[in-house]
Amino acid sequence: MIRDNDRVSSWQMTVIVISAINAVGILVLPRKLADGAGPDGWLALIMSHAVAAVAIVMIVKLGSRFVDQTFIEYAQVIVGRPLGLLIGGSIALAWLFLTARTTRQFGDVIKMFLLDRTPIEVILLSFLLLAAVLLRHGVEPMARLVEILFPLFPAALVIYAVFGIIEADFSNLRPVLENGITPVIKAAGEDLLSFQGIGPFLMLLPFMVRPERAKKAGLIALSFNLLMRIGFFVITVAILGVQETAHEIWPGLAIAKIIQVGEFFERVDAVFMAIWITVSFTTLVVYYYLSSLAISQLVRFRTPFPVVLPLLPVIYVVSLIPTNIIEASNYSDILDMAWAVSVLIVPSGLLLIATIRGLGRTKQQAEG
Amino acid sequence: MTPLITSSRVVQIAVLLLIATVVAGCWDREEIDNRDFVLSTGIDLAGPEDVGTDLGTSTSPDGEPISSSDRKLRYTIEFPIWRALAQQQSGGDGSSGQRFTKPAQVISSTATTVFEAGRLMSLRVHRRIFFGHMDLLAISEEVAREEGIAQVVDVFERDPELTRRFVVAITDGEARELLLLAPKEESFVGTYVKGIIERREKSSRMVNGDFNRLLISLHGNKSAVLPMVRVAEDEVVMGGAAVIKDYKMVGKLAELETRGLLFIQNRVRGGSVVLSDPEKPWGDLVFQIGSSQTRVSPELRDGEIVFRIDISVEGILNEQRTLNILWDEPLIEQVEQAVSGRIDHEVRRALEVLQNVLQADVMGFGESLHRNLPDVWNHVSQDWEETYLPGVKAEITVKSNVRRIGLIR
Repeated sequence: MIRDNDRVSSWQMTVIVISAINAVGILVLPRKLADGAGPDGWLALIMSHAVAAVAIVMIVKLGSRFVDQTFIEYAQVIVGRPLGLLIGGSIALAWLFLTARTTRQFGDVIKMFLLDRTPIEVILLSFLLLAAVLLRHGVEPMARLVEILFPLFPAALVIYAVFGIIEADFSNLRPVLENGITPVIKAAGEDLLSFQGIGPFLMLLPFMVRPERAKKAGLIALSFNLLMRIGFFVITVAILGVQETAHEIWPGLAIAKIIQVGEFFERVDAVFMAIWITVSFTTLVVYYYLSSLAISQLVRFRTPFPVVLPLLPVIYVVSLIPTNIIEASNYSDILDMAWAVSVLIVPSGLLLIATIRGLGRTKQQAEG
Repeated sequence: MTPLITSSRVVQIAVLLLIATVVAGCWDREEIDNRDFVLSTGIDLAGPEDVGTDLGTSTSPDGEPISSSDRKLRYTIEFPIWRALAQQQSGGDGSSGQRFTKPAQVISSTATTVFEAGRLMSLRVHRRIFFGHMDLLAISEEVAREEGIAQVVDVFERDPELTRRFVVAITDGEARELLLLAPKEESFVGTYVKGIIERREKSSRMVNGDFNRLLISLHGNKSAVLPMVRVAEDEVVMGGAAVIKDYKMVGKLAELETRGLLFIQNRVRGGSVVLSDPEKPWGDLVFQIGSSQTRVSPELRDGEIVFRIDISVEGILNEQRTLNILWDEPLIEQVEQAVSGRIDHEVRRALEVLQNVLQADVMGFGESLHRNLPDVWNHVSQDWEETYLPGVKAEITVKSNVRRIGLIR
């Protein structure tokens, strides 16, 4: 069922994970952290990434018992077909919602900052159509596109840091732990986006050239992501201060409006918008692919190809369900929370059952 | 082997090109010559002379006022007229004695809110008014005192079209009067004021008024300082600062008080200190500040909050009018002490006004306390400005260094 060229390298897996985590959400993240934990937001990031790392290790352990199967397939093996379909179905649904969420957040930012008079339908459909064209060709073009576009994301953050440092005042990050650790733990709950990095491991392990490197790829992705996010949070708070960061809806874009490249280039925010569009697009293709692959396997198609286009109108309609940006943000929080909780509970449960029932390959068998 | 160009490939390319024309974002396309680029905006309270302009536009069809406040704002914009600018630059056909005309249009409209007034502007301007390159937002003192700054700038903060890099200044008189001005050196008031602000370190007698800093400050503790601008016949004069507290302007700092504040905030990058005492061996002397560093650290001593302000200044002696010989080390040390005394005085004056008279924490003492002594801050953060700030002691130490004395002894 896997075509010859449908292969994902470890590095591609790493960038897919990072892309799955980061979309327009990163522009919002400093606000949530500053609001919840004040200057200690970076500690919250460390906490959430640590928990996400545990979840990834667990998923990879589970996945490596069934090297040539995806989560949708082996869930049915472990708990039987009806329950497996239910679990797989809800995961597929979650990805569908996540695709819609990415689309919606992208649309909101574009509508706000760039294309004021362009109908939202045109913005979203052109975004989705482009992704659909790409995904009809399978996992490898997706992985390659994400790999090619990936450097834009760290590049944008580096530009922020380099040109923002003139305005930065790092004493904005004090005092440390003023109200104790409780608000930090609560704020860690706001950074559930890092759990989105688990998605690719559920579905893409069998596509990896060397699946034994999956754990390493995941941990590299998370550490890299953690570094980027801490850097982004620190520079945002250093430039804007805690209160102003919490005041802005997209603190990341406020910074783009502040920084000047030299004395000559002002208004670089348009350039950053272009970069964030690209970053959102990589996120979209990852989720779009995951949901079409999951659904195609649920209904036992041989490839996701026939599912891609029919999904497009569904994603489009779901993305327009929230009536305003506040509702969209609330739904998105609920989605993140549900995802994080289930991704911690379900795979550990499955791993336990698989171990007890002795299903799949154990480590010794895999090595032998 | 298939040829490179096949009929199916031609069709494919044609389809791609067609898609490209549809998805290229054409709804928001706008020709540059259909835009008027606003360079400065002014906000005044509408006076009696404005009654009747835009009458009816901000009332409901029954004639009831829409907004609860019947106070109207007058909103003025300045934008260049490129045609006039081009004519002026192509040499005014030898008539050099001709009266200087400003190649810009200044128009006003009135409404109860800033945004509404801006929209009513479209009744008077035939192009789209674009704010992305605005340099100056001038708010009249009246508006700053009565309406409040945060209330007025909210619309500028909310609008994605604007940058966060323009200058906000308070005008002594009417903002419209400032915008109407035709400076000779530079055609547009917005550009002119921004230029003055960028060179503020020559004197350190004004604050920078950066919109981003203003917002950070306002959302931090509701207070801020903004530069003052006034119109003197046909000139723009800047200097001093307007003090904002609880979003409203409560008073002004004179020019040297402003510099005192800048010393506390570690924002002094230049300027000159004049010593004038014919009795002393140095006579009339000018010390030019080259660089300055300030450290502010709060301490708790016997239940009292003490702020240690350590200023270290270095610079050169630039002018001396009593023709004494300065090539004398003990003399230089005395000069250094006298300079320190002057700076100490400026800082004390600023603190006196801000702590006791205006009771506005624009120095950021509260935030500094919050960062360094969070426990103390928790006790005093309620009613900080009114109750505790006046009682805060400042321990100022100034250390000056004269590095050079110019070309002559």
